[in-house]
Amino acid sequence: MYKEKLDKILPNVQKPARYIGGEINSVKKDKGKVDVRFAFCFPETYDIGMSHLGMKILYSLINDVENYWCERVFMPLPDMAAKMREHDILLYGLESLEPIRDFDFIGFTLQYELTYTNILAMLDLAGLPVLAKERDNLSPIIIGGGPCACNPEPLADFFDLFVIGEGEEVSLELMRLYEVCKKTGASKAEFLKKAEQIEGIYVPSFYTHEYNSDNTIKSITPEKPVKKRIIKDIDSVFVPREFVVPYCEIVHDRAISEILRGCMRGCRFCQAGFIYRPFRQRSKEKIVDGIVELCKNTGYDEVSLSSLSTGDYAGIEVLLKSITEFTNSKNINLSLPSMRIDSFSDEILQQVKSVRKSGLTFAPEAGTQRLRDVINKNITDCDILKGCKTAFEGGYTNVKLYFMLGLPEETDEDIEGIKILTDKIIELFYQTPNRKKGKPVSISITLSTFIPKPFTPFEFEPQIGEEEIIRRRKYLLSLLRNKKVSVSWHDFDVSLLEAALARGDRRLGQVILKAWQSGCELDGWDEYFKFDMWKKAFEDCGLDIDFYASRRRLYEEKPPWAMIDMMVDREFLAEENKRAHECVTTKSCREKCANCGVSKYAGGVCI
Amino acid sequence: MNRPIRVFFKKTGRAKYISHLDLQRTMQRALKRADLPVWETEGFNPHIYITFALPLSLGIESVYESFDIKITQDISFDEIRDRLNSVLTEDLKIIKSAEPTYKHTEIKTAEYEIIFNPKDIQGTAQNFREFLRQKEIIILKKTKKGETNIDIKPMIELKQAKEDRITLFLPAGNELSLNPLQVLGAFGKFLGQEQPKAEIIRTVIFCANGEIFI
Repeated sequence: MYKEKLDKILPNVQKPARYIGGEINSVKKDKGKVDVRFAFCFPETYDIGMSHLGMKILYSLINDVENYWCERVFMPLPDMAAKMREHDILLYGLESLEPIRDFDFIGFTLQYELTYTNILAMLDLAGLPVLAKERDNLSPIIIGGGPCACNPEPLADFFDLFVIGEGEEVSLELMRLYEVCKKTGASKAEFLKKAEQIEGIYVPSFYTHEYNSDNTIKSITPEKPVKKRIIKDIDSVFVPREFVVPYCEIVHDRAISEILRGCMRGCRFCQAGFIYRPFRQRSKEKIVDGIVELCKNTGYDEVSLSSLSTGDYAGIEVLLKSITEFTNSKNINLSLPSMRIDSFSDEILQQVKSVRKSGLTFAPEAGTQRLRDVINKNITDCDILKGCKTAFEGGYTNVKLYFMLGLPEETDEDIEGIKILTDKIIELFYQTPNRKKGKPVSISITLSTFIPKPFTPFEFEPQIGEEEIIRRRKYLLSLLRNKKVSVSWHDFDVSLLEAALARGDRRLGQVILKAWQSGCELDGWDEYFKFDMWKKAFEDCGLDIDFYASRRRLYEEKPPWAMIDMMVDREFLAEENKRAHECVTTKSCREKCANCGVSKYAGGVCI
Repeated sequence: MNRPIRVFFKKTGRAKYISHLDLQRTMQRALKRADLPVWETEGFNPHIYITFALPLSLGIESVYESFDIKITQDISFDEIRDRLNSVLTEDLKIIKSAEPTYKHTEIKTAEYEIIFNPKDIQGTAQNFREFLRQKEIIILKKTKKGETNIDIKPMIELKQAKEDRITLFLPAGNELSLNPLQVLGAFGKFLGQEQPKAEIIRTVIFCANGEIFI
């Protein structure tokens, strides 16, 4: 246990509370009575990782098993990492303060491509070889899961196995198998052979990838698909009754209730909209009971509802009424992220307003109806203005808008559309008689660069190059010269790397390794991102970043993730891609089944 | 009814890394979890009314911390303690709750025990006495206006010095206060080394009239 060593270094690091654990509701067990120890690693800092619901679910789920112990591990910032190396402190779990090298499982959640080098950094800080083939012992088994696991290939060299899909059931199945293997003294190879039999487990070392002379994939052997796991009966899913309550401030420090999974909308750029299908919503009673219990056990004064699209919950108004009856009586603030503009009714606004006013965010994504039809974001100018009107009448003066640049089929007219829409919103504000007086309207626009992702209809699309993106942004900025409008955007290089890693193949493992070795980590942080090093890593490996990011892919081309079955048919994605280029929209699952393929597996859980 | 209650607690072990601001939030949440009838401020953003007697620097432990709340229903001192302890950790433990006797503004002095690691530093008792025998002990103090040199010698009262530990009285409160870490810094400088690593524990707090703060 590192308590004494940590007491030496912690007074000299920033925000030491995030490195010492011991928070309310953190779980301590007698390790003598524990058979399987699991290190849940979030490859970002404590402040970010502690805000994540998936970790809270798996943490409670595993710790509910008496002889399993799950601990939390985060990425230390450079000041802490340097002190750890200086004092021979290996990466440790926040509960026991013991090195995770001695644990049975080390699990990484893969939320974002730009955390990949952090995984290598954390394995190295743990005193482990980063390459899976250099780790011979049964333990620790390095596993990965989460959205980026739908194309795990760039990370294949570093992981022993990946969990595809929802983790609640399969994680425990895997741990039970391991428990048996450990007792019988099985080897790592024997364990992996058996693990592969579990549905939703992908063992990359059992697969061989071959390439054509043009660098595309020739074959992946064996041709044995790994089907993602889903929880069919969403009301039976494990829900944590308590969260670890951090001492120091984190990004989202509040209770979270997951009200639904999957999305029925089918926005063509959105990976979450396809990989989390089918749409399933939890019953009102379970949600409300869960919120009451969670607030009681955490003491939080804010609760947020988690979903991909809150307004799509059938019976959202009744649900919100039940929730606010409780939250209002306890002075608890309710926040509703992920509200689609078209579901923004007066009644919903009244509910949110009943406690405290938080900001309003809308994501029209594109400036014209034509382009919104291309991306299947089925909302109209009228919907947007109606949503804003309701907001202005409710006393809001600040509206945040999200747009993407570089979408397929985008023209200068679509960029002008952003300006026209913004003008209309400003005009609307001053035409609203019962708006809040004495304060000008303020519109914050955030621009992101479109990034094609696997398992979306746009997985075939090229990412638009830097010069053109900059030209479009400059053009937009020249149109938006208004004090009431502020515009922010993300760096292009970051989006380019994200695009390459998202659709990368197994060869990118060398690039990630090289980049990390040359000093890349915390790539998601502007101040630490070193794109030159990444460029050099690609060059050194003889690979072209544009091949991965900026190339149109044929419908017939075998993608690196061909062995992963996310239940959505590739023919459907190709069909949707064609419809996009024809500006034809596709209805939501509730209106009409689009035959994406999920229904044939899920059986009765689709609408 | 709005009855003022003073809750005494210790902040030890891992909890010494909780900053003062974070501690306030932590205790507000603990009061919510314990579901105690605590008075909340009224207005646009209602929250539990809570005030702490004396902030404690990050990295220092204490067995004599306290905060004041107001309760709205009759409830025994023991029940307040027990219900809070059932929702706190071993490093943040409630010792007792009671009716406040003195005001926060009456606080004058705090007692600190400083325990050194014999591996790092030896002959502490003698060294520290010599340290105090200096004509003056000047440290650089950062204020809002800038940095000034002040003499802290008159502020330090040595209660006891043993081989591996010393016990000090230092001024505390609104008017004048001295952080034991600054004393340690000056002590290290006197010895010609870095600030010695030590465990520091606030053991008790006194009022201007010489009585223990209760």
